[in-house]
Amino acid sequence: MDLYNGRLLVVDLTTGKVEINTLKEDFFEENVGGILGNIHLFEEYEEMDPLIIGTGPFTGTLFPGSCGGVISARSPLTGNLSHSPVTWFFTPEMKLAGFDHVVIGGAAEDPSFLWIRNENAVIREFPEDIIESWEITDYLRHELGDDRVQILTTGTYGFDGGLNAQIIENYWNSFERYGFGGLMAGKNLRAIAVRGLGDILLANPEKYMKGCLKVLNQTKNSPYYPEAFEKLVHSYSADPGIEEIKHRVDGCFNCPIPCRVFVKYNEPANELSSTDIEEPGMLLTDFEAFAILRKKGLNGEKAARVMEILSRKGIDPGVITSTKTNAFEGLLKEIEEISGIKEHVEGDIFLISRNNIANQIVAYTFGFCPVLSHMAEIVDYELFSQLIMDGADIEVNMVEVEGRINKITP
Amino acid sequence: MELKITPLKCTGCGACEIACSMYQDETNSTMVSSIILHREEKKNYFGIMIKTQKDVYLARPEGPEWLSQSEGASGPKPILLRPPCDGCKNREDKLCVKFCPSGSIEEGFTEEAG
Ligand code: SF4
Ligand code: SF4
Ligand code: SF4
Repeated sequence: MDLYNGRLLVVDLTTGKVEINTLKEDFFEENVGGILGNIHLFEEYEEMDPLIIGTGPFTGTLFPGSCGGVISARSPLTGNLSHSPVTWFFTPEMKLAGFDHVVIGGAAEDPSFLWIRNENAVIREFPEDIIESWEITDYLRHELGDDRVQILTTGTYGFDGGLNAQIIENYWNSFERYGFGGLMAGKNLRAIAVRGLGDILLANPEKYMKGCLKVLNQTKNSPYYPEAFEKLVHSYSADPGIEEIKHRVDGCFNCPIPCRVFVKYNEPANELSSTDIEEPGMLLTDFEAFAILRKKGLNGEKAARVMEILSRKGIDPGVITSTKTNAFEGLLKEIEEISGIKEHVEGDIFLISRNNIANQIVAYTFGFCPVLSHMAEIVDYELFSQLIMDGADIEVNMVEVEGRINKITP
Repeated sequence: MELKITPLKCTGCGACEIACSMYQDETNSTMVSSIILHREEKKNYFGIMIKTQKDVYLARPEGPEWLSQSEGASGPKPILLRPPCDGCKNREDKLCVKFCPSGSIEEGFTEEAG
């Protein structure tokens, strides 16, 4: 199949069974992909208490912001089926590894990881004592012999049973807000690793690229273009305060308006070479949590150091909203002790803002980043329908899709 | 090489790899491009390398460098086994230039080391 793989991976950690099922055209005509595909599959596999990762038609292609995937599961925090974005490079690799959706159910007896590549997957044992996210990613990349392997994991806090455990993307905080890290821990699943050496074919490459270029040019009209971290922090009425430690701006896969900044505090920020310092700093991904830390009075470096601890431990930075202290040491102590029900979880779909909500859900469906969809006016059902036609040569009933999107839009 | 690269503008997004694969093989992939993205993630050290007709151009952030093709990156599909950049000679536009969102790759000319 073009544009899509037409392949679903179903993993049962309890029995160790790995199944590869076909997804036919009618699945995509009906669900498009992403969040709508995940909701459909959740109904089918609910009894496995699954964690489902979905890509959309545009994921991994030249459509701007096409790092976008979605992870869906019953939240340990709310008990509801909930959805969060997967950004950075995981879902493009998953699609290039041959899968549109991955369903992971059951629970393994021993610590394990799932290794997805070449249209196949295996469940492998994982060392009991490696439980910090950064160590997990280092270990897997070394073991699997490839630095481009993408990893979803959580950290020490998550594997110790913490409720606000977040899914970490390689080393960095994600936008996952529903305690899915704890769900991974409960499944004895230390990590999901993926590498995509395959390809995505297109029915009409020239026309597909033309449509993507049109969208790329639209993103350049965004007030956030060409880089967004500081502007987003300002939008929470906080001063970023990272001039002294700012290293370089980082974009997720094919992102035209990167919202991430790497800061260095263990070596000079203007050091451009690869030095002996293995861990010079931190990639700031969660601009909202960073803004809150700044408003608590932490300087840029201290706020970044807090973010590093949260990412290593696999703690959702959203907990910052419920911490009482604004002193660095006190905050670290509170973070250390966090265990209770979190107070900040809202709704069942992670939203970057209360504006443009439907556009964020559209992003979750078609496979681009909801943060980008918040920053740039790129949603255009007519064009998207044409792109699916140019890419996959299938016709999607956009009126129905729009109806379903509106139905789940909070 | 019919390209001009400004390494520090690069955000490591990888769009150029896919764009080049679309030119080389009409496929959306990272395996058939003349461009490979290199990243040492924890150090935030990243940049692209391009296989040219004779050499490999390394767009290092601290300053570009030329290597011989046998010194280029390894990995699942080493640069040695990839097609060299021909400036998208079968097209009117250069796809990596078109799709690089940061302006790190532009049309231009960079003398090869030889
Ligand atoms: S907007 Fe931010 S989160 Fe979204 S793709 Fe770009 S860099 Fe990633
Ligand atoms: S100019 Fe064309 S062939 Fe050369 S690197 Fe760019 S896309 Fe590839
Ligand atoms: S497309 Fe441009 S910004 Fe993205 S990795 Fe390539 S050179 Fe860097």
